[in-house]
Amino acid sequence: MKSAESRGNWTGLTLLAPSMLFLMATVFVPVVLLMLASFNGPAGFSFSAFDRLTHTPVYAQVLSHSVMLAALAASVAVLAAFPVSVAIARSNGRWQQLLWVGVLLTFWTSFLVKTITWIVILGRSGMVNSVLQSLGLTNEPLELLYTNFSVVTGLVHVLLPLAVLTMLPVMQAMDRRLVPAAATLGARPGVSFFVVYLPLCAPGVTAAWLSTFVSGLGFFITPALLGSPRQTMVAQLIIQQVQEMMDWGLAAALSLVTLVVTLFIYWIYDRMVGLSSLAGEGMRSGDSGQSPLGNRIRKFKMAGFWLLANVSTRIVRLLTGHGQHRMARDGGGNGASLSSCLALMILLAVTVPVVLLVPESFTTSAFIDWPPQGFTLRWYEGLFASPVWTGAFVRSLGVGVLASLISAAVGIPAAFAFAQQKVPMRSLLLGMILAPLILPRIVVALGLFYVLSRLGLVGSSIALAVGHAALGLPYVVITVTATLKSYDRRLDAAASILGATLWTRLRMVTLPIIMPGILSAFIFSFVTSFDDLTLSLFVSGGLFTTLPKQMWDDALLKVSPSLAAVSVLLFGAVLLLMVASWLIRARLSRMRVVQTA
Amino acid sequence: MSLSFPRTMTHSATAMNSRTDTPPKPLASMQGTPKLVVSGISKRFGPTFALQESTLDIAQGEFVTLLGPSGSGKTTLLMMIAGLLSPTSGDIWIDGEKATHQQPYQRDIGMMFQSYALFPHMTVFENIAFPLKMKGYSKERIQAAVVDVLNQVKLPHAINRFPSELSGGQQQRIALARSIVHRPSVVLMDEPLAALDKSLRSHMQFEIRQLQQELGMTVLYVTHDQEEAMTMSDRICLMNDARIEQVSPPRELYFEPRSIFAATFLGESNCLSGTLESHQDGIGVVRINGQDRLCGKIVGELVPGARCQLLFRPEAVQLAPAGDSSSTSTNALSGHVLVNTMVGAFSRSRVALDDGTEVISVGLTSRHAAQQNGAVVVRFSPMDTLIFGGEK
Repeated sequence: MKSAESRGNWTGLTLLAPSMLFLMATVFVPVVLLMLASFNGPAGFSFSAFDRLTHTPVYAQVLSHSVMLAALAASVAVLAAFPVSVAIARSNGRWQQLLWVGVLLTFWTSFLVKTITWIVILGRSGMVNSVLQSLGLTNEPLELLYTNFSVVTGLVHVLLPLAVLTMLPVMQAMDRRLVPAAATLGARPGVSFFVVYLPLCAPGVTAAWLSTFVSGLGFFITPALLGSPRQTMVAQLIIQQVQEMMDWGLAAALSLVTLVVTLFIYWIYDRMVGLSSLAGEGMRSGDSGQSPLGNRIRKFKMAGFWLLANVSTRIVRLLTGHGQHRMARDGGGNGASLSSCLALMILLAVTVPVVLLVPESFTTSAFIDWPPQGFTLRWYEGLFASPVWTGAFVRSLGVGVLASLISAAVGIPAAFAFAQQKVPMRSLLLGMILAPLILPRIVVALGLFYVLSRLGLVGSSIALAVGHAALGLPYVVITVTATLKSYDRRLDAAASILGATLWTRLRMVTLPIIMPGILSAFIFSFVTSFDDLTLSLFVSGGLFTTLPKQMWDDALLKVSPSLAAVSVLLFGAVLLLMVASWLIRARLSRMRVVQTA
Repeated sequence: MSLSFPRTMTHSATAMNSRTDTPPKPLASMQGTPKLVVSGISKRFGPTFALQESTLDIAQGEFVTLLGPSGSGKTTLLMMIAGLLSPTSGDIWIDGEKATHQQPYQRDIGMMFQSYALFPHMTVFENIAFPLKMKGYSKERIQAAVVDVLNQVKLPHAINRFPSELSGGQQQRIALARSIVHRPSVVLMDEPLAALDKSLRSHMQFEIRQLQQELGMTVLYVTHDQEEAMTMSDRICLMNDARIEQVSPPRELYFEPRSIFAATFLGESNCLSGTLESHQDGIGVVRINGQDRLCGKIVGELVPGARCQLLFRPEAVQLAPAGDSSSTSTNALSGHVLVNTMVGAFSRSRVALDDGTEVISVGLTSRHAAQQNGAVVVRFSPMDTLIFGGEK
């Protein structure tokens, strides 16, 4: 008995070993070294970096401003993501597919493309201003760009799909009968929403806020392109210290502070909700009621939800007179389609702006003013003729493929361990796998750059691919684990009894069945690499830039129609990728049906 | 018209407009006003009917089961009574109040779901207190009622547990407690025992039935398990093909089915095709294979010369050695035994008649009785034989 159990542990740990070693080398050790570097003075150990940090008010200002902007953007993104997720979880068939496509399209569209879009819309001679002026509503162009408003708008656009992807699993795992059950027990819609639906969604909603807040905190693209110096965020400061001031000590100290803020917020979250819900492990149904303190917290929370429910019921009663509801057709079917429409509108609001880049890419003007003028293909011709752009594209492609191959090779065994084996200290190890996703990316990237620069590997495509593989690893593990959980392990037993060895079994039974999961894992990590700027900013250099790096350098100089053309090409590529993956999935699942039939 | 009256005036409005606002008189003769009346209700999804116009009423304290194969419309009917689905036509009255256009939370009902649907983030106490809280009861009254109902379902110690800490059977009891604690006019149960194992299920069947009789609850219960329906119900509402086939007490449904479907869905029936030759006082003579004449009770209207089906239960069949002509008052056919099987207390014999049709005979297993083998005479009383019109 005992030996079998410990052997189970060992199988799990062996499968996890590659990913753990990989993350040690690419994330944990570099970040720790970077943290130590913040105490590196000219004469050994010193607090001089922190001294400068605390004695220059601008740093504290930037930090607090970053936290505020990230918190605001995360809150708006979560508020907008909530109706979208509810609609996806509750609808079915075509509606669900349509909404889901909207979310994925936004998620996979490049950060830079999303940001450039808002320059076109909000700029002094952008779409909003030109429409307002032509309607005679304003004489002067409004200052929309380079404000808190434009930065938060850009951040929300980027964070919204992430929020949906984080909160949706919790909503999908919920028993669909609970809300009808509450209704048969006499609960008005307000009560069943606030007392039944919302408390059960709460872990997903808070997890969404947390992950959007942390990734927002590490952003520099949006504030740099859409903000003025007053909207400078901490990641920009870190980059500035490294690239312009060559001040590693201060950059490391700033990273340390960012990391501490992040970990502090995770700690609060873990106390209140439990970190496991971040990995989509589902809700802990009420086990916080075990300890007297936990019980009191839970009672307090429930009392809050009841208060909301009672207030909402009162308000509805005030608005409708006697609180008599008219009968909705099909038991609330009306409400469901209303929430679907709201979700669709929110998704259109984040998808349509990107489409506006299409006419801009054909403008004959040298500027991207609204409305675009004339029609020319010269921006596209210019791109294809330029060795810088084509070189960057080829390099991004190569790095992306290599990165996703590495993260698949390292991550798939880990997924097998989490889905099928007994793993000791499961939540800790899962948290470590997720580290590249849940730590601010700027810190991870800087740590890796710090180590690579010591090793003289800066500018190497392979080093860049290895770094990107680390960033893509969490997606591979999450996606493949989820697929493996629905895999019927009796098939393994059947294959073994029929004479298959371990490898034959994997090759002929397991892998073909989980192929759709592996495919989407591959796409996730490819897109992560292809779209990454944070790491590329440091690691790629000189002539060997990646596509996002080239776009970034261009955008810092001037947002030109040729950038719009690149954006349109990238957006088109994402569309193609989605169609392709959908077709391949459809084919794979049809094959599966044939096999089981 | 009366629609403009506030809801609180329904009763006075009833007197003024009795044509639309009172339930139609119950069809079956029952004492008092029925607790639940469903009149001419139907549900259509696009061109297909999930339920054709159906009418049913349930008396105070009655236990009625909706029984039928999947897709027969029983869940659709239940969902419309609960208000979770709105009907295409027809009306629903709950305890004399028209509920057709009421929201679920305005209806005086309790419902038990197949998946239990207990709120996972609430304790057992909070779950059961939920409907009482919705009614605005005082804290003391809620506390007392919850303790009371937990005693009734024999789980008083579970009061502060979470649903996830209870076994399936215990969760079932809590779901039961939650659906009856507020003393609703009607308790709806949607296959509540389907997920339990066999022995626990028969135990719960007994307990639900006992509690229902003790408290005088009015229950509408959905199941596809005929044994469950027979055990628990005062009346069974048999459903097939999106409509109600027959509403009868279990015995009547078994012995006097009004359709071939009812006769074959509940228990087993042997079925022979033939032509009606003559009939008198409800007794018909059917000729099968052009030679044998068999008698039975005619169900419905039939004219001589019509194609018809002869149905009789396996337990009504007796096998006698070939050539035995001791009794001429029974139906008799000759055939030969294909196989005998002992199924514990019962033994089954499959007999092939001379024309190749198979007939099944079931009898109590006996250590002494000789098994019939080879050529036999199949006998069954005309009293146990029913004649239905139409093809199989």
